[in-house]
Amino acid sequence: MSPSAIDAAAARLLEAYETRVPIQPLTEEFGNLDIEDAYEIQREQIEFFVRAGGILRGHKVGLTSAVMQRQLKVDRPDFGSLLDAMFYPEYMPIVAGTFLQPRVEPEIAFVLKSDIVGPGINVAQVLAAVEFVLPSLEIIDSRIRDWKITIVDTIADNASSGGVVLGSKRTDISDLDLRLVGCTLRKQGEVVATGAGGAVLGTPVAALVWLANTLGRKGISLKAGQVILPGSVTASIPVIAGDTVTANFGNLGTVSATFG
Amino acid sequence: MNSARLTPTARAEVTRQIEEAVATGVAIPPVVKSVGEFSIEEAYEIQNEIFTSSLGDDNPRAGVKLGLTSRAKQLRMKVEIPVFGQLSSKMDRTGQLNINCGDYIHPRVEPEIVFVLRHPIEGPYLSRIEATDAVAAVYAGVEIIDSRFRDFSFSAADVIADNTSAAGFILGNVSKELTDLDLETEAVLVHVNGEVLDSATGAAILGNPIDALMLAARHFHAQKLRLEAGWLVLSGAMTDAIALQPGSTVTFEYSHLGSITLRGV
Repeated sequence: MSPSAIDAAAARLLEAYETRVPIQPLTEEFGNLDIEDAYEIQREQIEFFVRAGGILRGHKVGLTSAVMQRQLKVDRPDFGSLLDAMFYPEYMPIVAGTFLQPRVEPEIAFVLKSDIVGPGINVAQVLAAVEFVLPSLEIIDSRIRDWKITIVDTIADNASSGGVVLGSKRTDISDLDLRLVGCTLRKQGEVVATGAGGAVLGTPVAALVWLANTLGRKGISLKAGQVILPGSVTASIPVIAGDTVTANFGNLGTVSATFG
Repeated sequence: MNSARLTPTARAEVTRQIEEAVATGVAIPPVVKSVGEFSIEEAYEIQNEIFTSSLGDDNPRAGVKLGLTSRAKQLRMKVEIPVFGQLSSKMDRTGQLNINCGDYIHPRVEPEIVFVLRHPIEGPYLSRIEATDAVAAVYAGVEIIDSRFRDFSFSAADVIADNTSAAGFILGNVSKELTDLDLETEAVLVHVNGEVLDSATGAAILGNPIDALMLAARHFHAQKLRLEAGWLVLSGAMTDAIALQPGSTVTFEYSHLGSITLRGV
């Protein structure tokens, strides 16, 4: 795809952030985009946000469940960037209107104590680099109308990122099997989804390995202090103003988000 | 809810069709299609008749089960109430790795939390304290369901008369005290042929599986069946049922209750 078309696609998405009006799938307007084009479109927007003062605070991995990969007909996850403005404090109402069509996913967030420089990274290195995990809720959002996304649409759209709410209970992972950590997601108190860490690529650790290697091949390393969202342990649920969503991760703690 | 009662002839026809499907392994259309609608109450009467006649010295009662305990499953099956069924010892496949798919019509397997009763439960009303006290042990379990109806397509009355699709059960090999577990976050991973296809926690069962015991106490009290010490209570499925096919290997791996592997042959 030509550089000018990539610019145009990035501009279209930035406009959707600005106006909060979703756009048509990029593939409809720009025809054949490949995955590399889509990551270029994503990169242009992140650079724009950083030029405007945004600070990179971490990354997210998406499309990590068997169901999602089948839905989008892909065999690997994708990634996006987490900027400082995307982090929302727990127990403060989040303005639902900040987003276009928000949904929530419970995740086991990693916080890094040292840099991870890929590629060539395996489980041993990533485990050594994790300082602790936190219960978290990712707010996913799509700048594409009605979430009618293909794989390239979501990658171009920062992997459908919206926001993050981190719980405040930190857990050391040394004695923990993250695969078997259960999570019960409730909305207004009612159970709306349940799942376990293993729903994330077999283990959330695999998402971290994939991310370190994939970013490493692009010359990007993961940094100490960054927050990595490895992927959802349940299906996502839609949220609107007035909703309170709570994820209970058992011994890992709980995290809530209220939308006003 | 329908309150019609079947004529004795129609009722005998329902029993005949279901028993024949069990015996021949050939699925049938919903019985309400051929005999007309009938009430939930009468459906349970038919269930009791068919189930009781299958019992004998070589096939004693083993316990009870709940089905359709998650809102998602109720919506999908278009039956919006939990349902109750009965288990006998011939359904017990515990310790068996290979499941012969040919013994069933279209077997599906689902992960469950199973309670073993410490003492009899009378009902109708059981507090959560009494329910907790009545549990001697908690096991992981797998229920094999096998609707006698084509494509698992049925009304509430159909599935209840068909003993809520009950066909078999397997108990895991780890037993825990209820007080040692947080059932709301006790998780299961569903591995199918090496891939994690699904996951869930106990909260998928009515918010907490112990509530299933409270519902079972009420239901079986109305049915005049006392739940006895040593009986199993299969509290409901945590995830969607997985179709078991020859050649497929399914493992249900729990946080604290061990794992159960089955192979379709």
